[in-house]
Amino acid sequence: MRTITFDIDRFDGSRSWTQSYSFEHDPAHTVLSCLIAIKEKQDPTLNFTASCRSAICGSCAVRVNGNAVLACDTKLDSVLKQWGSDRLQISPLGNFTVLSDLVVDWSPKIERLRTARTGLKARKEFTAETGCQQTPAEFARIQKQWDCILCGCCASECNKLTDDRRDFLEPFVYTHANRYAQDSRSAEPMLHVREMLGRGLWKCLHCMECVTKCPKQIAPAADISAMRALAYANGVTDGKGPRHAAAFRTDLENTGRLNEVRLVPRTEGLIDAATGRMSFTFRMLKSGKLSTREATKLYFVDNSPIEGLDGLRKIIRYRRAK
Amino acid sequence: MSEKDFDDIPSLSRRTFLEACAAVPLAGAVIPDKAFAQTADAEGILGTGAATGSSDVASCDVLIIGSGGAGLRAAVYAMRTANLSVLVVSKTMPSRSATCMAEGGINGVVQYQGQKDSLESHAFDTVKGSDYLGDQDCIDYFVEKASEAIRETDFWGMPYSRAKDGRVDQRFMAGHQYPRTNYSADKTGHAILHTNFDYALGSGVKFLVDHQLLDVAVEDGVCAGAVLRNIKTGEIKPVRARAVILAAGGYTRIFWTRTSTPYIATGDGTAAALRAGLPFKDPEMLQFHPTGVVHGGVLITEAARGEGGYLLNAKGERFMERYAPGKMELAPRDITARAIETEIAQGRGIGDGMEAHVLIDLRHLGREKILERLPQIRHVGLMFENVDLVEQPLPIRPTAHYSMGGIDVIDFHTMATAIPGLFAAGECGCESIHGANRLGGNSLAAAMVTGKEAGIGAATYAAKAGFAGETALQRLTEQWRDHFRETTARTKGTNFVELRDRMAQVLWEGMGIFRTEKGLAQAAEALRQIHQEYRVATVGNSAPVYNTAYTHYIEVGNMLSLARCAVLAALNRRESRGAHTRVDFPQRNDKDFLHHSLVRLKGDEYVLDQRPVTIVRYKPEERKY
Repeated sequence: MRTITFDIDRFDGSRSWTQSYSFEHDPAHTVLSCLIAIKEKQDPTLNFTASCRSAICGSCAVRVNGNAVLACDTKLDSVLKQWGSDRLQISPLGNFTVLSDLVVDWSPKIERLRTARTGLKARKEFTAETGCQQTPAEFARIQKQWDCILCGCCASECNKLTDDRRDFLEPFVYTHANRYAQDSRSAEPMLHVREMLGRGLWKCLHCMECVTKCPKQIAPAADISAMRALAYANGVTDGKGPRHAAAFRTDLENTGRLNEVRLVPRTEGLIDAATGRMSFTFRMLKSGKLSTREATKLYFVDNSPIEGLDGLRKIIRYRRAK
Repeated sequence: MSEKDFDDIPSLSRRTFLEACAAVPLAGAVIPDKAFAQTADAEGILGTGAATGSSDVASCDVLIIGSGGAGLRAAVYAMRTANLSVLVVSKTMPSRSATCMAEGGINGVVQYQGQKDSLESHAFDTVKGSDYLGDQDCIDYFVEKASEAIRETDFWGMPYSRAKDGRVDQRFMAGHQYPRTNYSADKTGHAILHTNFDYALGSGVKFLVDHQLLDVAVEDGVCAGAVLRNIKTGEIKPVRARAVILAAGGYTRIFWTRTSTPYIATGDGTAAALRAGLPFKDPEMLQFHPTGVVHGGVLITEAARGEGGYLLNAKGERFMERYAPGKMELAPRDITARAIETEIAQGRGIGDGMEAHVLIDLRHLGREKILERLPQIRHVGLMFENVDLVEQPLPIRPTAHYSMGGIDVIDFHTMATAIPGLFAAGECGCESIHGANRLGGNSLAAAMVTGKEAGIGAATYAAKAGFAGETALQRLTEQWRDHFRETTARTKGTNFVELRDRMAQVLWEGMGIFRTEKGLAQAAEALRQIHQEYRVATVGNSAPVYNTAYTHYIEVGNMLSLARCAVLAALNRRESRGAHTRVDFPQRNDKDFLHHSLVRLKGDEYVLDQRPVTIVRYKPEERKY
């Protein structure tokens, strides 16, 4: 008999511990059916949530060995193979407040979702009595964002949220804002973008955890980028975020090289960079991550254009023209 | 404008971030979550004292139980109708409901050039589909409002799939004469649920999640509010309300081990209404879908047969030849479901008892076609049966799919029940639109229509009504507090989960697709015994915080009660109509049974009553397609 063990992170409102449950291997199991079997056959005190078991309601997201998955949509065999072990750690989603065992608190997340100003504010020519017009191509532009099931997987491993959730939102909130910002029926796309600008739109770290974790193959990071572009196109070009993006583009257009030493003063201004980043730069030099010669060379010398720069410039101009 | 205005916290470079990660363990510090938004909590949302003249009981004007399509839409309309406090209560996060599982579409006649469809045609198809058990005045109202709902949800942001000219596109569904099913790819329910959730959020609707409905209180014949259990803390408390809308969904989960519905569809609202004294209308009318996976009942959608899949029995025969030689596997749902059950009953199925099944075979379609056209169905096979449809046929059996019956609604214009101040909407209520059989695409339409009417109806009522007294509310609260203590303290008795599965088996065998006098009588007796055993069963968890075992214990109690109503009504409907098939009475009998079944709870007894169906234009005729 092959035995599988789940080490489940437990929490009863005051005490935390890890509890191990062993059961016989069955190739027909999903992670959710394992949890149900544990609850019904071994321990009725184990708490988790589940509803549709068809990957559309978003209730049953948990972390397997630290990675968020939809329990109902994950075959036991696939995670056993992925981790090369018959023992798995099951924990609640990260970046959520845990209520009990694998159950997390959605109440504060609902309020954070509200900040995206969800719900269509339709253009003047449309009415509730007559409905709207939209071409199939315009529908296709928002279709993917509408696949979001609010399971929370994207938020679980979001590095920015883990670092500080006071100035950043769950990736799914940006996806929600963007589906109205990109909707051809919207009267004022910038309404949603402005709300997000004030709530961390430029603070995404581009670690792409949200993209890799989404069970619906949505890319919240791309929604963030799309709203940044929309903001930029609408004249929101001041601030560190837009300047950082502009500095990237300038570098690419001028030489095709990303010059990280120049990037900081361009983003933050020379004086801010010199004062604010001094201790950071000093630590870099001290720990040997950067040498004075290298930095000087990067800043003043290393600006020769790369091969194929013309092609790159064409792409940039083509995008800008659109 | 400038981004700088908002930019009060220095942005992080990737390197400082990595540095911070190295210094602090990832699961590290707990950061307060209140910077961007207020935390929604009962205490912050519910008014107390001053508003009601009572010192310590929470209150709101319109209390909505359930956050599926109907509940969310009711909330938006309740807020629009009057300047009232509106609160949506849900035992889960709002978007987990059965609404999100609907795939096909939402019916509603939309006028456009060259279109031949009409409201009358939609009404007739719905009446015929209901096998003439639907109330025709209600259906006339429904089709008109369904048409409006399509345009309005479009205006709210519903991402409808579009025709080339930019209008909402329609598809055909079985039982309809014209294409009138509006859709959003194959995720219409999901899209309509999130459209309503987004719109409710944007409209300022307040949510109280992780709260379970225990009972609705009635004082001097008037609705006084509800008793709720805060699942997070275990606290059981009364909430006073001028009006309560029950939009808690259907009760199809009574077939626990074989249903396509979500785990939470346990009929909590219907059971509470029954205990509050309301009749449960047409409880025997439960729709079966012909193809679900044998373990658990998750749907294998019609697309599998539509693309040319075969249904095979143990001998490898395409048995549909015996039942629908013309249409074969493409015969209507009820005929196909009965064919599968007949094969199993006559010994040509595979396996025994609850394991018995037939097969759906797609192999002849070829790998490429399966991967391209039916990836979702292949995925379901892999997930639930560990069968790859490319290589093997999949074990299937019919599965319980939708409950036509529900809380007796006496005014379909307001969705009012016989108790002033208590309203019902969605699958939870029965007005009755669907009669004995619901047509595809009519469930989402009904959720939108009845949700809106209930929201307006309840708010209009609440704007004029006062708060009822709170004696009943306090008494029920005390009862439930005792119930929690006594029930969870028990250590001897059957595990209630075992009773739940026994209930499901009894229902499948006695009140499944084929019903007989003897089988139903046996089921009634078996359920009575299980219900008795349930009352002294063990829960296995006495902790107050997020005790899901106790949550489920209450759900199972609700389902047992509703199942007994269903069996009683099925036993007394000695005819076959729509989803209700009596082997011993194979014909429809309009002379004796053109009426709704109404089951009431009197003490510990279930009492059956009747009410005639409302006929307006369409005289009952044989239902043939």
